[in-house]
Amino acid sequence: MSVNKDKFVLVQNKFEDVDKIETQSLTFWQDAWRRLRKNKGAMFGLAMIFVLIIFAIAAPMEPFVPNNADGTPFSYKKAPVLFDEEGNEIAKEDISFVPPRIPGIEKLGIFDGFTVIERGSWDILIGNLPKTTEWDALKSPLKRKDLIAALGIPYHPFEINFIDMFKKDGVNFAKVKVLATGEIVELPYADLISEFTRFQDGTFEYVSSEVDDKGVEMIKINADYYEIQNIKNLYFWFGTDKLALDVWTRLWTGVRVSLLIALASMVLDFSMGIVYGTVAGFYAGTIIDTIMMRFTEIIGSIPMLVFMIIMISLIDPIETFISGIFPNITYTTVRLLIIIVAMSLTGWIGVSRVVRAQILKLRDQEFILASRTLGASKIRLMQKHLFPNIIGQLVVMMTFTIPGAIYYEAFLTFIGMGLPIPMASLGVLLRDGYNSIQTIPAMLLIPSFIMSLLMLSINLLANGLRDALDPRMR
Amino acid sequence: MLRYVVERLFLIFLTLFVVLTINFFLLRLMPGTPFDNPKITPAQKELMVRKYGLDDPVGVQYLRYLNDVLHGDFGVSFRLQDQPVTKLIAMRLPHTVQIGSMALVFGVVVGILLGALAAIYRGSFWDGFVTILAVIGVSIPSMVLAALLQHYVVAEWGMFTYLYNPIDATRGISVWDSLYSSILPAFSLSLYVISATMRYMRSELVEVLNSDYILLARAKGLNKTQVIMRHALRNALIPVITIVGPMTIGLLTGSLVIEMFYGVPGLSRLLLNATSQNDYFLILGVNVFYSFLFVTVILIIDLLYGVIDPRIRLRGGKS
Repeated sequence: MSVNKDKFVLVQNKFEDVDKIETQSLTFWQDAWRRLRKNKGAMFGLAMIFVLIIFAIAAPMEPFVPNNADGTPFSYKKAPVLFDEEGNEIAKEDISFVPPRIPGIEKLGIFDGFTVIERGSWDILIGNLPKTTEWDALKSPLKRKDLIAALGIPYHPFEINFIDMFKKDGVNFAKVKVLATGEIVELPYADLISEFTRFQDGTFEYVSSEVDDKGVEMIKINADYYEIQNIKNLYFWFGTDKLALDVWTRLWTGVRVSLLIALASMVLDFSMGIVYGTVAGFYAGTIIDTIMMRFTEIIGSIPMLVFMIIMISLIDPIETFISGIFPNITYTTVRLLIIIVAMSLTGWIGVSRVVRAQILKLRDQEFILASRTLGASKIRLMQKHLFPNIIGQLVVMMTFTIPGAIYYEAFLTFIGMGLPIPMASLGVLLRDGYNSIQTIPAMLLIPSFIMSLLMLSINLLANGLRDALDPRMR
Repeated sequence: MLRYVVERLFLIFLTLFVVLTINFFLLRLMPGTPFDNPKITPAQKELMVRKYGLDDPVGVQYLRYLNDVLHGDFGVSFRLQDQPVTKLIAMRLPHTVQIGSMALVFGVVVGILLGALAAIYRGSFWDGFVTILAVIGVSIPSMVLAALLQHYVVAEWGMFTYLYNPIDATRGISVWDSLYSSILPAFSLSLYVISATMRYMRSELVEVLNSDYILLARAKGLNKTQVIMRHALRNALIPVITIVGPMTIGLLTGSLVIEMFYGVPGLSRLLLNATSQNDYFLILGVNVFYSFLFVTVILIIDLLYGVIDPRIRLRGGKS
């Protein structure tokens, strides 16, 4: 095979081209971003954080402010007035603990406003429904005998068992067994009055009934709260809480508050830690460094819980102290500040240690020596040579701090150091949800899901950043 | 070595002294007194205050307390019938330890196994599984896990128990019943331990497997199992010990929410109740005890580390 020599051209024949770099040169951050983009988990995390932050920013500001527009303290009765299907104003008490209902999705059988309730059969009486006023006077369990007398009902309510529930000619019928006589009666459900007047005919489906070994019968019903309260025109996407506040709104304000707390404590941690660590690192080997490091060792060997307990017990004096200096500051803001400070009390120590160790490692290296020989000032050494070399590690540490701070906020709320109503944070929502898990599990599930998702996303991003910013991983 | 231990012990005493002093004076800033009960008349209250010596100047009280502490007396609880603080701590500690140690043992064992699996079969399905599990494990807050376990596992599926049962012969609760009831709280706590151990174990083992002495062992003709069992695992386990110390402390102090959820009469519940009741000496005692645990565990781990790893010992001897 013969190849013509003319087909070959010498590419690099010029001497000056030898050192030329063909590819575009990347800065440290461009390179990190390029590598971060290849990490699927980190990109998922980044996208999720972006979405969550947009929701958190878009959430209304009102619940964040503990006062109404006219300056009076917030009260749920002053929340926006809502109207039911017939255009009547809804009492806020009637729409507390409403289960979630989302338009569209409700047709799939989830988020449809139904919730399964279990009640003892003694809550169900037989007879005609009395007038509301009479009913209110008689419905107390202690007045049950009076109630039975007033209704003139033939059966003692303790002595019936549910057998079945069915529809006949469009009317709900109940089949009950009267234990005293053994007879089985079929009668329209409307004749059975529930102590909880909410459960009226047509607002629920009968699920099952069970008699336990003590003869107590528990009835499970799947009730439609929206039908019960006559508010089919309204949609509370994630339901409402005890104070009839919309959980969807509270969720995103909560995410915002939690993120704010996390970011603020992170900034506090790092500004304190960096300053402290830099000073200690610069004076390494001297008595100043020894004293500073002993101090961090002592503070660091006090468990965080001890600090928190001290902070909890001192909430009131601190509040009076702060509001003495700044009279305009609100109670909520003070509470927020205390939480942030409580979390930062030990957080800065780790940062200062890392910064000091890094500075110790770097300051004896040749490039620092070279710069020093050329007469660079300490400030210039720090900002040009030391800081850029530790910034990568700091960014990773910062990202890892945030999920921890979000967790500790929830922890503080559970041990009674949380924010006051109507402030929302993920911790507050979790605690509220935990208290109502038996009736509406969604109230716990939704905030826990969002909180886990937020922490997961930030952790994924932090993992990705650690790999991307680590020069050894290149 | 001896000098190092003495130095560390001195630092421990200094730390405990600082904790005690800070706590003592800060707690006096707490609003109210331990006897703010509407049922207590002012005369009774004065009597109580005098009985416990709370009417003396704070400085005198502090010196007296310090003297008592040096004699092993941490004072009495005002609210719990004058019981000594040390006795109260000794009563509550076993419950916290029972749940904490279960969580620690389970978490560390599972973490090491999964981490080793991921490192040995690096890049396989197991590796991916472990990596994802590690991130998820640190992302689910322990209280969320505890609440979900209570609601679904106990209430819906009828497995395990809602509340923790301490061993009590009079109520017919045997050791096994008690251990059975602490499975859920221990599991809620252990998820974090599993993820942390797993992650650490994986990265350590990967590093060890890439080292020269493993190559040498392979070159000698040992098969892969022998290399991993005899050389790799042992060396990778050493650094894992360092994270066990802080984790133990985390389990002892961080179990507060879990103790609240599962009704464990543990140490952190005692502390929280004492805080809400202004029970000065009890708060002080528990806080000092926590700090004591913290520093001693760290010291033990540091010393153990030197004993287990000859390389550290050689270097540590000089410095």
